[in-house]
Amino acid sequence: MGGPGYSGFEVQAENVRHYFAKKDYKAEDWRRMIYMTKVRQEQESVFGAFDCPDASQVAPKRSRSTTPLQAFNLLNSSFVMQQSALFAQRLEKEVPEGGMPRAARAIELAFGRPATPAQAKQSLALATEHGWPALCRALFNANEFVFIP
Amino acid sequence: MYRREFLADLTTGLGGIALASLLHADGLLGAEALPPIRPQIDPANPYAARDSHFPAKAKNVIVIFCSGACSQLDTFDYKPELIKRHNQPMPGGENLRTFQGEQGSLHQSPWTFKPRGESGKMVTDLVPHLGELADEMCFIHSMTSKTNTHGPGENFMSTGYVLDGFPSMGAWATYGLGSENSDLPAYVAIPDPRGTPQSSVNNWGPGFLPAAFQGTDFNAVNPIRNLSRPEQISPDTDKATRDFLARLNDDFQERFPGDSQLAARIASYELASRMQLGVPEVSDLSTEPDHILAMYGADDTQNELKAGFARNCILGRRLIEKGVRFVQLFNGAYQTGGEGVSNWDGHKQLEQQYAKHGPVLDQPAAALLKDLKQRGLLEETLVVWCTEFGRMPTFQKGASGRDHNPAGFTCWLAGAGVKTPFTYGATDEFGYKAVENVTTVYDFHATILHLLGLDHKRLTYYHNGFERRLTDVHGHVIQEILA
Repeated sequence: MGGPGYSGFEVQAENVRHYFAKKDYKAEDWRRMIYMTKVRQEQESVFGAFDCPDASQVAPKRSRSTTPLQAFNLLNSSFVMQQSALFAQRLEKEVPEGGMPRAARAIELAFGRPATPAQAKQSLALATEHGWPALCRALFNANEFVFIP
Repeated sequence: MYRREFLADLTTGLGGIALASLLHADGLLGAEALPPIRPQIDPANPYAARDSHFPAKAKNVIVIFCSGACSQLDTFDYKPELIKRHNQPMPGGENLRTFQGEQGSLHQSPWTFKPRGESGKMVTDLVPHLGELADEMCFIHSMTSKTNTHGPGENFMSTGYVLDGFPSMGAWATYGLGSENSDLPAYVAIPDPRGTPQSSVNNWGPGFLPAAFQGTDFNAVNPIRNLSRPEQISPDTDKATRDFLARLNDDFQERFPGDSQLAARIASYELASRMQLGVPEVSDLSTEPDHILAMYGADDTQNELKAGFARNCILGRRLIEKGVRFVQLFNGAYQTGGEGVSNWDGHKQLEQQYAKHGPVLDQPAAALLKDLKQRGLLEETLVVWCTEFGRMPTFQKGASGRDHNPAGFTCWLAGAGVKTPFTYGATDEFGYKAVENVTTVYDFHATILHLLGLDHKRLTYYHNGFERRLTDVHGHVIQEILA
């Protein structure tokens, strides 16, 4: 709680301020969205695609939609790639022996429940073939990670 | 019933009945008003094609938006009186304070008006290629705006509200009609090569409509953000990841059968996969033959900006060709220079600045219209040329350019369902104020929706206690300009 906020934009001051959505987020930006300074009329690179309400109108209820831009964002953005690498580092540190225990831990951290044996096996197969960051990227894209039904 | 209540009822109750009856007799109560039509959106397929309210004249729309307020007096609104009284004060101008202050003298355009086409429509030498196509156009010379400030003005023209946060015209159109193409976004905004307009993404925002209906912005230079697979992910890895995801999502779906959000999300990944192929294909202009590149001016090595805008125009045509419902093509930007540098806001050095902007717009936009026509696409495509407001017939005091003027400006329509060649409405003798068939942005929007087969009074979205419309509580379809 508390502490400095962060911005989703690089700002260039002319006679009006020009905002360019940040492409890379650094450690000082890793805070919940509630700490992000809100810029009217502009859409930053992460939340804009996800029905983040415009700040200039009252929004009693957030609209909910599902768009391909969201999929592009979670599959291909540098933010998600960076977070996948960091998630993989954490797994390596927590479960140095790797294998099934590490795959199970990945599912547990992402979904907040123990892994089923089948999922742990499939996860390990993906990680062995394509690397742990690839598994982490996949988990961030899973419906179970994104939605609480 | 208590006596007090009875008396209260007597005043409001009986009085109310009497009032209702009077209003009804005058047709003011709107008892005949038809109920709203709120499109049913399938979360798994938000872009499914939906029926229009009545048979449509236009299937698709392409808007060319000149950001910065393009002067009607230096393009399409011919006023002999302005030429005759060049360098004289404008009657009533001495007390007039516009956006940046006081008025200098009336000032004729630095460009010459000439009769064009068979209609003989007078158009300046600033836009000769567009002038050649005057017979294809339906001019509205009596446009008015509610604001003299660029940001709100762009908002008004693109969303029907001067404030931020309302759905854009394209969002309403795709919300109402969906799309004919399942491999491309339903609604595309193509920013100028120089950057975004003043109101930036609000020009193509979804407002309170679901984000599925936001314009996807990309142009011939900058692709959709995050469209491509990151370098460190190989095609094999990507494929394996998607297969793994499909299994995970199937497991999850089994635990929550019938959850439409989950189904929608799976559908969106499928659409994303198709777009990953479809967007690069539609954006790849290398398949365009040389004579088409030359027609648009995309091969102009002397004028890089013009070549850049030309490529955006070709992209616009390719999107329309593929059945994208709504395309917005921006000419002019603020990110790389305000006040006339990168846009039409010619306050102080109109001649030098417009001499640069005219050629960037002219040949590419004209070629777009010609190309749509030669491919038969103009029969079902509406082309809209607009800007946020007009400019003064005077030069600003002590400067060589024109100030903002929301009292009268020009927009034109071409293509499906529009009467051409035709001129509707007029400004006064100097081109300052709209005086004949004064037209609001609401009327303009109502007419565009009408051409798409949508009743602007019935296409609504319930938000925050209102049945919201593109046209708020205003707007009349301009019947006179319909073919």
